[in-house]
Amino acid sequence: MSRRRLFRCALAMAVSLPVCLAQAQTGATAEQPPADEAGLPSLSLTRLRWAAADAATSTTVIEARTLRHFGVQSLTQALRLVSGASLLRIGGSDIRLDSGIEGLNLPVVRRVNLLIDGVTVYRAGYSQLLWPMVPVTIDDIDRLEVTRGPNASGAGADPGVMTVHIFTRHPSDAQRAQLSAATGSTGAHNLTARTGLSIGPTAVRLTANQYRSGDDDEPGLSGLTRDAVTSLTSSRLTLRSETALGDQSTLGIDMAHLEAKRDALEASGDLPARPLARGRDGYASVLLRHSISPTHEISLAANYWWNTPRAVVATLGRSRTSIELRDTFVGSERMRLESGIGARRQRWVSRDPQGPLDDAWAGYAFAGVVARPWEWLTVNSGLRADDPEGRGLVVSPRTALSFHVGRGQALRLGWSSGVWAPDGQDPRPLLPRSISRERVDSTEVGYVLNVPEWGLQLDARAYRNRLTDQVVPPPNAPSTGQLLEVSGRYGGVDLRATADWSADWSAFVAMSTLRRIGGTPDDDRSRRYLDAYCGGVSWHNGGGWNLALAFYGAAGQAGALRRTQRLDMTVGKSFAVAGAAARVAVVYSQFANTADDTAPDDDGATSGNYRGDLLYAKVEIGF
Amino acid sequence: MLAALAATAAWPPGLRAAGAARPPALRLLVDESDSARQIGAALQNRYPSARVDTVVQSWMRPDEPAVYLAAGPAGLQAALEAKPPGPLISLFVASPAFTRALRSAGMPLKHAVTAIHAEASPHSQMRLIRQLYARRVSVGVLLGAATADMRAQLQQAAQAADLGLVIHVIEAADNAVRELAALASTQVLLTVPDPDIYSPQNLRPLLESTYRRGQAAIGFSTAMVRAGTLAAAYATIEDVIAQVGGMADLLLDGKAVPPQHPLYWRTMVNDSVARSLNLIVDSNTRALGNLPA
Repeated sequence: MSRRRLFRCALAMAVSLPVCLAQAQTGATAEQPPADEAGLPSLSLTRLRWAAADAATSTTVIEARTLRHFGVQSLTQALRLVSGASLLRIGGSDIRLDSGIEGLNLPVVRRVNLLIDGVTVYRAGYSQLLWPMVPVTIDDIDRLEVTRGPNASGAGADPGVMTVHIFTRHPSDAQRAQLSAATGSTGAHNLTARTGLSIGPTAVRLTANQYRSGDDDEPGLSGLTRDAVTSLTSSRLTLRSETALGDQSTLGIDMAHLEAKRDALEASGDLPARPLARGRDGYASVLLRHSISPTHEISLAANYWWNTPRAVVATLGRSRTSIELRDTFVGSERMRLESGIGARRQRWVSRDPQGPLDDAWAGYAFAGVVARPWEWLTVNSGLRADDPEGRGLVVSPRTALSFHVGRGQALRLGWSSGVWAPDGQDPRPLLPRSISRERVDSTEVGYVLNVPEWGLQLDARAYRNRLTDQVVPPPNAPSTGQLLEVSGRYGGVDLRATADWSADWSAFVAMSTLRRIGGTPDDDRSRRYLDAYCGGVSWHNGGGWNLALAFYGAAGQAGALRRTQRLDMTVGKSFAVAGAAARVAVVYSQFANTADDTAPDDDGATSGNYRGDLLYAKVEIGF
Repeated sequence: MLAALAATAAWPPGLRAAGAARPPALRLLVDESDSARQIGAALQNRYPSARVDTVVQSWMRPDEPAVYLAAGPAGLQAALEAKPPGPLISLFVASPAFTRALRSAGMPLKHAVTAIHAEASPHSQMRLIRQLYARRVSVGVLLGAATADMRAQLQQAAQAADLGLVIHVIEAADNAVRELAALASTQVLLTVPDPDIYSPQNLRPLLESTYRRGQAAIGFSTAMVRAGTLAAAYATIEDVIAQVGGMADLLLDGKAVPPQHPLYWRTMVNDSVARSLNLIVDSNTRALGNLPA
């Protein structure tokens, strides 16, 4: 069967299977009660949550209350709570999420995907994720779900080595008005004003925010000194609305406008000067949902993102347009199916008269099923097929078997294989080659434990990833423009546990270790290992007091040996004032970073080694 | 005594002791609906001599001692307007609706009016929450004007079950879904039969909101469990009917019987919701309740 024909088959299956199953279900209703009368909640509820024991892979879920209790002030800090991830400063204000594997290419990390409410927001062209420029405010985050491995094909686009999915606060859940102001000892600030409105059948959330980075203490690449850190000031206006169109349909609209300014930096030592840079991003998204029945829903989503950097030198503009049709069907308590088709176009436009440098589109189809044929087994499988124009069909399959081996225990065997951004280009604009052959194959054994008496949720996994045809710069000459094609085999163990053993106490601990266990070239120094750990305990009482202690640490070798440690202490107090709910929180942090091969300063100190402390205070009031 | 009642399928001893020449009747006023017919059948199954009427005029018999029963809000309204010549027990009416009906009845009634509410007691619901979570958790409750007087009862129930409690009172004009934000720190939302808060229009958005927060919602009826709440403590028709005999006994003895929640109740769990909230529901939880003999 030709690839194109295979793609057509996958497409047909994605479209027709839910319909067939729906018809089968309709036929069964004469003898069986309808699903909604048999105890199934409506689909609008079930699509909102997944049971950990049924997930296709290890998933870290971080709720808004965790962010609040532990005094998290930015998205990058929230990512510290994810096991197996550490943050790495590339230079200036640019911070990357380092899950180990994408560290193969540290300067341009392109194997992590970020979705906000289901919409991909990494930057077309370079496939970058500029975390300080993500169009979301920390106060608007409802929860984060982070999956590792290429298992995320069920989530939609771009299975990579890690997918971060941000769920923002629903317009109906936002308070009528909220103001918050935060400031840090090194000049950071975060100002937010938000309103939640209900206008007839429409709920609206409108948020204005200005954020200036500066309190981040992420360790940098080799040779990056503390002095090389520049601040980025971003202003964002986000709007999210949902309108009920009768009983069966809803229309969701998301819009965001973001302007960012990165401070200039003078040349220092080996570091080149960084000019003042400005950028402007816009996002628009429309999502139409229609419930065919309480257990059958179809949705149509259209998204547009554009970016117009206004740097002194850069002249590039980028955009992404996508459209997706998705069908979700709950056949019974034991079967759920999701499928869809979509297309997207990514443009990378030069402002000079030479015209577009890149203009790529891709069509895709996906289908996934979660089935429990027996009480002791859950099967979670999916397939995604991408058809980037003229580059051949790319298929990303996944499957996981969860054996429910005892009360609150599940043993998971998972396998997945994915390709990052099949329609993407190599990050270097002048290199006319595709990176669509970069593949990640992953196998994992996972264990999920749930002990209700302690409120304990534990998720552990041992995994092995094989990366092939990876395009990376030479580790000893990352800035020369040369590229190597390498492969690597990595093995690791992740563990994350949360416990809410009473109404007042909660705690979490996460550990991960990753090792390079083989690959070509044999002497590739771009990644040897990454160990990361974090943990914390929080106490909060009925009187509104909240105390929390959290520690974070990581050690890794990517060219240089790096270590980072941080300790956060948070004190918060909630109280009522004039009918409004107010909260004051103070966070004190200590950190220490080392980079072992950093050259000494004139005074003998190693410039990449720095330690310090930070103080951060936040006041918020909501009506 | 209730066991004996059921075993003999006869009149409550208290009624017999009242000296009536023949057992006084339990007289139930219902409408023509299917559920009303089920209530009538359950009553006559347990108390074969009970009378079930759909017309107010034939329901009231001043010439014989009787305890009058009214099922449902419409039945209660009709009964209050008719002013029955004996004590009245309201059945299958939620506590706020019962209170409102009594207030709107206006003039004082000659005979006692009491009730077995439709919803299980806060004590039962809190016991269920404690059993579901197997540890101390924090429970949030939204109260409106119709349910504001439940505060003390809820506090006692939470204390008895060793649960934390956060109560947020809202105005009728407030958006109930938006006001849920005040309970974001709690793990469980306990619903109460407040028609201004849990209206048919509000229920789905409220449940979706709790799902988004990973909050479990505890319903006050089986219909709410089917709609997507995690669980409910509830009383069946048979459970409520089994309680009628004892109340009638006391009323005919001339004792004051305050309105009360069902004495007998059981538990219903939505397994799909429990699974998605990572909760383990064991057989002890499913068997939780107090069943009539």
